[in-house]
Amino acid sequence: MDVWSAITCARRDRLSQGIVVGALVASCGLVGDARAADRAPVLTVQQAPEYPADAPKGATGTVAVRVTVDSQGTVTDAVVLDGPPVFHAESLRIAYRLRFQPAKTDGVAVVGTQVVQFEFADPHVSQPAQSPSEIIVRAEREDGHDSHARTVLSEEDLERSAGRTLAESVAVVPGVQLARTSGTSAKPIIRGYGERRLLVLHDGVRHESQKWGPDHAPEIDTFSAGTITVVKGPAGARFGPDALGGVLLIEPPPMRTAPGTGGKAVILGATNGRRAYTALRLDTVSARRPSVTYRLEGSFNDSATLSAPDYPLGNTAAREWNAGGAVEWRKPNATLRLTYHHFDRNAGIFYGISRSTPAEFKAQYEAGVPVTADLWTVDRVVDRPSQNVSHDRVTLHADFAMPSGWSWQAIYAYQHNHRLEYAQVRAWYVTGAQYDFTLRTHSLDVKAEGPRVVFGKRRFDPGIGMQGSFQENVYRGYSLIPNHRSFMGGAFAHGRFIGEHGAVTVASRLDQLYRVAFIQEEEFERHIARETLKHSDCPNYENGEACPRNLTAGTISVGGLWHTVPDLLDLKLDLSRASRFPNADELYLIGAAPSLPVFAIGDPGLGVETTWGLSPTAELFTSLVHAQLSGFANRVQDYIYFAPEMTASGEPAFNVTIAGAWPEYGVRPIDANFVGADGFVELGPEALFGLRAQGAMVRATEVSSGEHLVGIPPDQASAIAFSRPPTPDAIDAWALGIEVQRIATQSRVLDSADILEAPEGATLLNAELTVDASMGDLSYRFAVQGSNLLNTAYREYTSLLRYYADQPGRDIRVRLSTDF
Amino acid sequence: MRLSTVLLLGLPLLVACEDVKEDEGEDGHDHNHGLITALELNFTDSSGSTSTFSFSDPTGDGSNTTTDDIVLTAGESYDVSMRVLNQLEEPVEDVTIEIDELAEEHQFFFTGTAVFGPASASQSAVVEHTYNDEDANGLPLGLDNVFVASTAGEDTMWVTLRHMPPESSQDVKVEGLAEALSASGGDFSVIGGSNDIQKEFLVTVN
Repeated sequence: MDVWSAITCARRDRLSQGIVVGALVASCGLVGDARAADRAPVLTVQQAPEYPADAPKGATGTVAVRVTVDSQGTVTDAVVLDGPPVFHAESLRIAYRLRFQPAKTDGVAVVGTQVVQFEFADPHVSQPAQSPSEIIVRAEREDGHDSHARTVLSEEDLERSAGRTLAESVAVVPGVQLARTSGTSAKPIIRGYGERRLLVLHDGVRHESQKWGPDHAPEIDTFSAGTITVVKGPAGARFGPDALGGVLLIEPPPMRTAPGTGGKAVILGATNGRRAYTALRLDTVSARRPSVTYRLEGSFNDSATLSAPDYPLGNTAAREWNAGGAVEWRKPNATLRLTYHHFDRNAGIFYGISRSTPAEFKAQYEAGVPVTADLWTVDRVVDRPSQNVSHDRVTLHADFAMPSGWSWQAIYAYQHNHRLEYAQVRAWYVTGAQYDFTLRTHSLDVKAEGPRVVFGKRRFDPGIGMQGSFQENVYRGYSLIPNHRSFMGGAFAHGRFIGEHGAVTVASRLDQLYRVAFIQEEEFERHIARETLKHSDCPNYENGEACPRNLTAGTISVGGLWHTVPDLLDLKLDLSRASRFPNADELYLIGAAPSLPVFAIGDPGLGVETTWGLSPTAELFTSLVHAQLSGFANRVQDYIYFAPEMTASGEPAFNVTIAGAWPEYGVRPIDANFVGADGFVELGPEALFGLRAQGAMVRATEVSSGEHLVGIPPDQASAIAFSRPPTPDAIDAWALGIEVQRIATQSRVLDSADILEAPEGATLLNAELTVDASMGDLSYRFAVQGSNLLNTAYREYTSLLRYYADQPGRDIRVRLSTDF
Repeated sequence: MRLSTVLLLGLPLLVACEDVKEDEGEDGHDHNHGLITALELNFTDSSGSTSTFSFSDPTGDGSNTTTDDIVLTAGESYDVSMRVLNQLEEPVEDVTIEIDELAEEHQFFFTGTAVFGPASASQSAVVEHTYNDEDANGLPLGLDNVFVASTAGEDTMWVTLRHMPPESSQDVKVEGLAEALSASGGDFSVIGGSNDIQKEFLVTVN
């Protein structure tokens, strides 16, 4: 019996109150046990349900499911009897994975039924006393037991940032900031750690792409996300390499299980860049084959040239489209899902970005307005320099439960990332790209969640897993990043003890990377000249040298959560370690590209970068106040510091080429400390009027010198006043919010450590009005959002644009969306 | 499993099995954007004798550069032609041809205390510069020039090749750029574009 049929039966149950249960089961076509058993089935193996990430915040409830257990103790049918619909699917999924001692009649195992209560609880609320006659399986929000500071952005939250990048979508979380590029792209920064030090898990798969340029942003369409969970702090033991600053867990919306067609549609227009955005998702389940769901989704985003308050930002037009689909087969003990997504983005690189001599750089900056700004117009032309990036992704997910109680998940993924960069050219007949990189990645993730071990009110959820990947990079055009081929493998184990007053999580992981870079003779000689490689390091191959690296990283983490004052205050403490392997560009790059306007020099001797982190978090819950404050103190060993090179006398180093003297940027391993805090306090979260304040600060210093690192975000804070006035009859709900956002000046970095001094801070005004309305069975949401309403001219310290021009100015966005 | 499913699953495997071609490099790719590794200044005096002074960065990364000092004779007038090369190509690529073809996007500027001319008003100049060519729009290009060694002495001259492709379909190379540079004291931030070449030479006039 499939899931839809089970839910149908449950509805019939509810509609036919007072009718004998056994009769209803029979009417659904089940094998009923007409005889009265002497002993009902006894639960022996639990599974840990997952609290649905798409459930409304604070949603709790209990779902009663009647399971039919065969004479072997296996669940052959499950029917929801009662409970909030949002928890039905997870309840049924787990119900089929429970194991029982079968019912017995005269000592003989027979088919029997049992009612299981699935309790989806707020972990901060004390557990109710358990009746000895009930079987209760508890599921709680993951963030309720995670010792990390984490925030889940729901589909509704993500809809508010429709048409924006992944980084912009998650930047609403305290401690998450942006490294904007020259146009409409952006990279996330979590607690001062940039994109290279963040792990992006998209539908359970590591997102693999080129990350070496400031204009390279994650190629992910946020419309395909149902939730995004932001985990702050090192989390390598749980999630794998690169999770030094945090993890972005991007999960698709749950697939529809009810026969019929449903979906979501969004249409948006924005004033700055005259942007148009539209997105559509369709899920369909046929009544004939209700165990199969088909999904089609796509989005299109077209932006003309963006404008700063005083001038257009020439050549920042961009065009992006995404398309994808999925097919899911569901069986009682297994789920199989095949997905495909294509991302395509063609974007101009701001005309003003060019490699300049230090004197010209400084003069441009002091002039305030780019010299050719008066030529620039707002249009939809993507001119050189530009980039065209595509990302194809195929995944196959298999999820199945074993009779032993272990639940296995295996994900095979293939990602094909293709980046073309078009530089300014000097010949009319040159029409192609000058830089062309293809990154291909195969990966296999296998993980298993063990059966829940219950000791009275305490329980233990174990898990193990392994990961393997094969990756190769192929360039055409200029060999900025050498061809390379790598194998990476890892294994991990974790466990969580959950008690009445809190939880303790332990995890450990071991990863290994073997990579060979194929460096052409010419490039190799550059490294020889710089004494960063020796001939003995790399055996010859036909046209150059093959340079191998073999790296190992082990991680471990321990975290605890204590419900200090039940129903009121939680305290968390996380002690974690995370590592990352140096990327090929950090090892071997020598040169520049349209999206990399400095002369960058890699270091083939770099080793594994490791962060040790300590992070306490306090969270307060009352009906009037909700607050979270999290601090962190991290020591990074062999931090791969990409920054201007200095001479022995402490002066900036220059690379003198025929085109002038360019500031050199290099990578060097240093030990660094990252300390800081982030958090929020919300007054009256459900009240007519409310106020939310949030902020983040990071201090990052080199251990040996005590000097602050370049590129760390300045302090940020914002205050948001919101109101949810009584609604007229014509609409369901409305809300108005006004935000004052303050970005401080990054005043701690020495001016001599960077090409230019840090820009002045800025205060921005943003506002949003949302209206929910219904028409028949359809619900609509209408929103007007305004950002930088005062059209303040400012430059953002973490933006590439800050060397050349102001950030984009006022933007008014109008959005209409519906779920159907 | 249906054939279509097999094909769908197998496609990425097939695509991904393409070997990493270690020597794929630049062959067959539309990579040309005129990498420059060498600049030659060919000074031809009134007798027809030519002296060549050059700057070379054969690896293109500044790690192995050589620069000639320019030595001229006081009172002599020179026709000066510029030659721009990419020594990383085999055979060596003459980028001068591309510059000439896209003359409307390029201009050489001669600045520094050694020079008096359209782009520099140095009062201690040892040479005087005038453009001797122009693009299709009648604007100076600087591949051909006239230098007069006016005064004995020694000083520095910056040779800059500025690439100024149109922006928003508007010309960035316009009239009066050299004069604007002169007025700003050689501050290149007052004109658009970016440097293809910027190199300092020591000029000695005997």
